[in-house]
Amino acid sequence: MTGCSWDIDAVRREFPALHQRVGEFPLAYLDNAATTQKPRAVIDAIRGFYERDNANVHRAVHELAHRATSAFESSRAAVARFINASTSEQVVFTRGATEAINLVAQSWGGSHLQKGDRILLTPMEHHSNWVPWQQIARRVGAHLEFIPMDPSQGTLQLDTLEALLAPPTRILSLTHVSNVLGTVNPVAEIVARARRRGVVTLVDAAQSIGHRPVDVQSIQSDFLVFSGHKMCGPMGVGVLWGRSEILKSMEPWQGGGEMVREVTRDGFTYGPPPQRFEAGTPPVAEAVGLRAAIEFIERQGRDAIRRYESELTRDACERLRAIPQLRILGAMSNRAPVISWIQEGIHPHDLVSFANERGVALRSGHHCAQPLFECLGVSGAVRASFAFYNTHAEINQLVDVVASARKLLT
Amino acid sequence: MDRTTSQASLEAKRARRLEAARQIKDSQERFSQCVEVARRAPSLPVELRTDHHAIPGCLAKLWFVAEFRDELCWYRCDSDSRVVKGLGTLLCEFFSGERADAIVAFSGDPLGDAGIDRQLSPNRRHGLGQLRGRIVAFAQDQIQSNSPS
Repeated sequence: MTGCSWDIDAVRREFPALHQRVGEFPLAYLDNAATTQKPRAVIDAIRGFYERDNANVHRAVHELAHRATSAFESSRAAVARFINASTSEQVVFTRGATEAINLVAQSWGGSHLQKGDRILLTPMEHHSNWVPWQQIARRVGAHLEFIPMDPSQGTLQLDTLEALLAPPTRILSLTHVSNVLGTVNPVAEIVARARRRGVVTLVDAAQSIGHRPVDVQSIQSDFLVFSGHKMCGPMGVGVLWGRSEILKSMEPWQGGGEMVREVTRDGFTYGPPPQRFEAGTPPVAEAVGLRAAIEFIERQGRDAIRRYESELTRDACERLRAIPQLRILGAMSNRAPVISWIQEGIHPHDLVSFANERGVALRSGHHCAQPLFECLGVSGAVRASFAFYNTHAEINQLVDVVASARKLLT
Repeated sequence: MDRTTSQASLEAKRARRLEAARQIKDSQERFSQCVEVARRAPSLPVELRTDHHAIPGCLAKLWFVAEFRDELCWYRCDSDSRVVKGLGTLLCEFFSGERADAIVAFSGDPLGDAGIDRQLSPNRRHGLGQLRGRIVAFAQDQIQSNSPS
């Protein structure tokens, strides 16, 4: 890395999946916004759990159960430290960010939202932060409203925010980073304004958690969610962080397993958070893997990751922009490591298919953000998304592929 | 052309496809050929590229037109994706000029057997599967409308 001590070769050695070829070409994995690759530390942690410590957590008293419970709760503490939560009781394990948002929509929304209430979103939300709110809105008779966006810049227009935060708005749920545009929303500023108006806030950190420091005490939202698999952790585990007082006020959304305190023939009482929201056997091995991912990222340094990824993204943006008839969506200078573009005369799926033939893993389509594409006035785009293990050589490979595709496909 | 001849014609086409596929040295050449097929295939007129002729299930737009002429089925397609148009055209060409009963009876996979559809994502494969379904459904309709009541 220019001017920095980022040892990319050492980083890449930790990721077994990166060292393979697609046909005759080296793999350039540039689909990190969908899921990241896993370092050996994560793979080993999961295998180690199943080889030595596998047991169900919390209630049993045998040795393996002690170890499994200890590992699971240590993972919770690691998550709390990673996002600067004041206590690990604020950390609820879910299957992923999507389930965490559904949990809030159903549990908090089910008891707090009423007919006529407004749910405020942004046009750049992933379907996972869209559909759960549509579902609860339909159920209770609330409605959705959106902070306007400037389609040419790909940024939110905050001049009407005060009016949108006025009653009947009850909750604002917004993404930290757009999974299509790479826009980094000023969530701390927006949340502060929402809090002043008494509006509950949820921040979807799925696209930011693996790429920049995320500090819940700095953002000050009521909820924050993310998935493990987008930050080098395993699939099947995610996190809902919530303020203690708001979590304590919420009803469980699923029943059974660890969430109960007592069950009688006539009813049940439920336990405190976070177990209140963790019905059934939780994703124990996955949580252990998530802890390994957190520790791995901490060893690399989150600021160093952000600096390196910013440099990669700038390099890719500049070089892609130089390709004729290629339009990058959004014009932000401060962009997370996500670039989506349209190549005039080439269907995004064709370009991605072509890239695959040359070892470059990209993604095409609407990226689970159809309303955003409606706002942008396009039906789909090609997306390259980077992680701290990507290289400038892979950017070269990407740019060569896009330039060749233009020759072949137009 | 009787049914047996038409069936033999389809089998011969299939054999030629397999032989042609064997000549292709790698997936890049296969991709280029698919794009070339799309390039040489005529576009459908704008008035036929409508929702009425669209085939759902594919991430690209795919339009399909069928005709029954001289006791035989004829198919054309178009797409905003060159890959989909190329593959769709290969499928349409394969079944065009054949008898309806032979098309319905043919159980082979003209694209898959030759590995031509490797470029497809599951969604696109689904879209091409829908195209094959429409080709067969059209043939079935012709059998029913032309059978003695």
